[in-house]
Amino acid sequence: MKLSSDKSLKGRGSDRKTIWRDMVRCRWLYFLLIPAIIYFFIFKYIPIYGLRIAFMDYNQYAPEKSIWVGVDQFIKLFTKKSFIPVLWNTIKISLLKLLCGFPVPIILALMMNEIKSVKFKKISQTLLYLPHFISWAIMAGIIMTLLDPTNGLITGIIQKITGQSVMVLTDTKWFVPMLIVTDIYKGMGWGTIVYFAAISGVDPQLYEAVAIDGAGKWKQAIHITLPGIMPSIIVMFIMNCGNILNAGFEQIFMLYSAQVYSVADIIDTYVYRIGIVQSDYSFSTAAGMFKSVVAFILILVVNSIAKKTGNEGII
Amino acid sequence: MAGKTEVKIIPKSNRIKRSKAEWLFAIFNYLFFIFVTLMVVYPFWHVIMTSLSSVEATAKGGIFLWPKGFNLDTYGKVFKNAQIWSGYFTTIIVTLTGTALGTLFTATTAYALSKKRLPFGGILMLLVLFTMIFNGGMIPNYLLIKNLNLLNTRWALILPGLVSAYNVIIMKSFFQSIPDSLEESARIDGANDVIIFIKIAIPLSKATVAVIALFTAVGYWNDFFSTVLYINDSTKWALQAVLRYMLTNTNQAMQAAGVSVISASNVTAATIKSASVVVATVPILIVYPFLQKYFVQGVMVGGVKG
Amino acid sequence: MKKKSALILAAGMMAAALLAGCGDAGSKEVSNNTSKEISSEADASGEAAASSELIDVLNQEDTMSMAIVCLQGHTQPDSSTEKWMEERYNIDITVIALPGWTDAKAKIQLLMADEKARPDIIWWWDMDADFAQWKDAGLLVDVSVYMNKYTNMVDYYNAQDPAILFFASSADGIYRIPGDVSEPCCETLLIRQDWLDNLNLEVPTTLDELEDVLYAFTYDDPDGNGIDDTYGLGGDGYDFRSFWPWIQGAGTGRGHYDKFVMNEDGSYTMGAATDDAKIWLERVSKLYADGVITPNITQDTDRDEEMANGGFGVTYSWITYNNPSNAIMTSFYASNPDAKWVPVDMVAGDNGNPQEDAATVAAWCYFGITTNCSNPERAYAIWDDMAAPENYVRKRFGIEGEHYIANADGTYEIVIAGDSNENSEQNIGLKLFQDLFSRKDECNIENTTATSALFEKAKENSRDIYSIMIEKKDPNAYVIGNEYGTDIGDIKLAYFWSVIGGTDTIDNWDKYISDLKAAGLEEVTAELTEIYNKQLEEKAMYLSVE
Repeated sequence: MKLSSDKSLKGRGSDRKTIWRDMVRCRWLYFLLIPAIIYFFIFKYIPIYGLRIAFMDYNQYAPEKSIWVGVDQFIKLFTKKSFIPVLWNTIKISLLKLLCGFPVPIILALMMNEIKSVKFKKISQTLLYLPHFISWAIMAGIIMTLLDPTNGLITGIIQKITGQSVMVLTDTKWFVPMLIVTDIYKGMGWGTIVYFAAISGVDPQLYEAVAIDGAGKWKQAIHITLPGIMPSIIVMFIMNCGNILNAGFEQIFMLYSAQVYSVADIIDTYVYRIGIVQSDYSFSTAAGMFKSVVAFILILVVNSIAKKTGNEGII
Repeated sequence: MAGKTEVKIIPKSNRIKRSKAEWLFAIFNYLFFIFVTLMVVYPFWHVIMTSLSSVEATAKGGIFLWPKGFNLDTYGKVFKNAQIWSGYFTTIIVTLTGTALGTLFTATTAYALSKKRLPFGGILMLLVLFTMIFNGGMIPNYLLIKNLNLLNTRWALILPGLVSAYNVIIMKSFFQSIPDSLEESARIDGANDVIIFIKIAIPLSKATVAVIALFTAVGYWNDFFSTVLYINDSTKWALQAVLRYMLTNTNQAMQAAGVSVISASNVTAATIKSASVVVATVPILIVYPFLQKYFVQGVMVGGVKG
Repeated sequence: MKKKSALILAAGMMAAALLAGCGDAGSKEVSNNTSKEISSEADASGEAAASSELIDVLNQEDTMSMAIVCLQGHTQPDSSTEKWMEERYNIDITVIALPGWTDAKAKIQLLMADEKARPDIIWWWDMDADFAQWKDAGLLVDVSVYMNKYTNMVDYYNAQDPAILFFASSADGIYRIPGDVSEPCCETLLIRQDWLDNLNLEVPTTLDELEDVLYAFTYDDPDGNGIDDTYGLGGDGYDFRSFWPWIQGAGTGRGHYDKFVMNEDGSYTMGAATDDAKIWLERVSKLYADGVITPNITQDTDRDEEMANGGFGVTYSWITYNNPSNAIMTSFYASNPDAKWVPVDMVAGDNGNPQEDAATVAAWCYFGITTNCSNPERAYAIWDDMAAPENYVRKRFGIEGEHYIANADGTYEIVIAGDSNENSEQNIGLKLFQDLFSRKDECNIENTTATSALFEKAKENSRDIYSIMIEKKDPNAYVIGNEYGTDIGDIKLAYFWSVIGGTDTIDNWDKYISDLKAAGLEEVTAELTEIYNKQLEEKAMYLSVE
């Protein structure tokens, strides 16, 4: 991570003078930043200070009775017998979701771009993102009906295709694929919005220039549109990487059961179950903090890889 | 379009081949999207059908394509629930205010940070990113709002989520794709950064602003947890909190919460739940079609001539 | 926005700073006989004790404001019932409605932690660790003194079971009042009488007969429609209670799915690790493999939906399904007019002593008066006055003639039910503060006489099994049990459901037991033995004073 100051000014003299001069030149940019600085400090950073709870045995009813325990809560987390399996599940599920799910909105956006009828586009786009507004609480109910062992629609289809009657929700081989498919299904429409906006920013003249040389739609999409939206793709990818330890609590919580703990139990669901029995606020704060630290490191790593390969990162 | 001085002659056979392949693809594309859209619409369709069905039919849980025992009573009941109306009021106010302020501040922040020449821009960006990943948790946030004396007010629903780092990052990436040349010419005319921001960057970024406005608006609209944390007065609950209360009034939720001795009578009927989902979701769905006109190609080009 | 909610949800748990277990010292008995003793004792110690005069709650001059937390029941503000209470007692009520089952615990914690937002009366369920901290921090009022003076609630609970207040009390007083105590047993075996008739079968009285009936129901087309679409056993999915007939009928009946049990020699074992458990597990998995149980019973289905759907002939489920007013059954009978579900006696298993599944004696939820309350004694007195039979019926069921009708023969008819639309549309307020003291005796006019008789019978037929079940008075004190509890529970759940569903076999039982031991079962059992034996002593002492 380096300071991104434009060294186009050939300033002699000490660095401090140069930086000061740059800052003065950019004073109006700083002016634009003032509301954000105030806002982030008050509403984000002051509460972040509260993360020190993860290093304490916190008593919210008598805070003065809280004791400092250092990294004990973290050690407690890491030494739980189920920690490694649960961590591994989390990473596995997240990676699979990333691998399978990340390209889908991009492809959809590119294909949608080829639709000529504006009306069709409008209606289709609006309908496509409907599942985003259905919470997992409702979606899970629908999924369970469709996968009912006796008369579920999807169960019947699976039976016709594979000849076996599969109970997807309790089958360790089918459960995670089901998670991924339903997650993609629910989020792909919403994910296309960013790419639509990006596509609309690509210069139409570029298309024409290439069309004259005889390039068809396919070549245009690959050589013009895709590179045109690459900055957005990179940014979305980096941010998705930061999500690696959030494998989708709400979705899994609504759908899982003990038979699939071995493949579907993630950090969040495990910590939740511990919380029911033990109700330890510091512990769950520590678990959350662990996830955040990993996410932060990962984002920085992926970001620098992106920059080294010549793209714009987030920072 | 500016005149083409050179016309390349494409052999007729190539032209025909190209248009046939493209024509086939176009048909495939339309069919593909019809299929995908129908599949994707199904959950919502199911919810609507359930809301239009009778209580007896839905108790069995067998609604697939059409309502069984069609009636509109459920919607009547839902709209008679005073909390739905107060929920609408709160949510609409919060969403409008929050989206207006939030989009504005997100835009100013993202624009400023998109300029490479900004000293310490990298550090600032890092600090912003940090807030996306680290969160103080329930209690520190609650204490903050309490100390600001904003508990049980609608501002508590607006302020904590006003500017999200996620939106800033996306918007910044869009601003970065604006060519510097546009800025140069304005600078020559004596404009400072704020004027460039208002007069050039924003008009060129209508799609960006639309996206962030949409994200912000949907974020506010769907937020129920802020109500759980900060609001005690049931007349100030956000609409989604009212909905969430109904959705978690189920046997499963009770068992998950550790209660095992309750019998049926207190559970919210499936029809009411579905109707409430429809009532709570339809308004925000209407927003996107209005914003779609900004997702039209060529906005950027149009700005060049200015 | 979305990430933030996920993070907050994941981080929203409760704090446990328990250092010492409660229940070490002898418990303080609450008894009418010693009321004078206690109040003079309090006076002598110089505390600000309540005088032995009773507050006349009906004639108070100052309006007391009361903020009351509740979750279930009627939560709309300014209902007629609320106004009736406000006028009667000269109070100003603010209802703080909790935001639904999933988020309520978080809200309760926030309310109690915030000294300004703390209500006058707090309500909660489970949250034993938090309760211990509230007590330690001095946030709750000791109501034992008031219990001596105002006795409606105490009388009711003692009439139900004296142990109820034992479980509610702490070593140094009573800081929580039982909010709702379930009936001692609320489930029964139900059978489709019409299917039995169609197949010319008798009502089964033994477990073997019951299994024969299951096979007949599955394979002999009991509804006579020519389609192979019926099952024997159905019920609440992902819930071991659905298999209760086999659980109670296996061996000595000690194979409890959830709790620890007491052996004949006085030692304790985890119910799901006993040989009895192995017996019923094997039986049930065979039935499932043979297809006589609904396949989705291994998934988290909704009990009500299953009942409304039908398709099975035997189930172990709520007694209240027998109430004619029950909405689920009304809908089921509407589409199946020939069907007839009848409650039958539990079938006898290996030990010949059929037992119903006993509920806990302790209340499942409590409410307490916080130190924010301006006049705790008056608050308690008000609540106790509301608990008197006539007042309770007025609060819960409304006005006689308007909301319910009392017939000459002593039966009742509900005109406007608590969960009806009229109640919410007209904001009547039936079921207001539903879980802050509820009566299950004759004041619960919702139950028909038949249903009440069922409850009585179920209570009698569950006492034997209750006597060998462990009921923890202070779950928070079991530190080791809580630490290993999640992992042990996970192992049990995974193994049991896998065996039932067929993805694992009963032959791996020994491996299952050794997995449990590796997860700390023996230390947990040792700790439980120590703490629970003490609890038994305290309970005996408590009850002997009664």
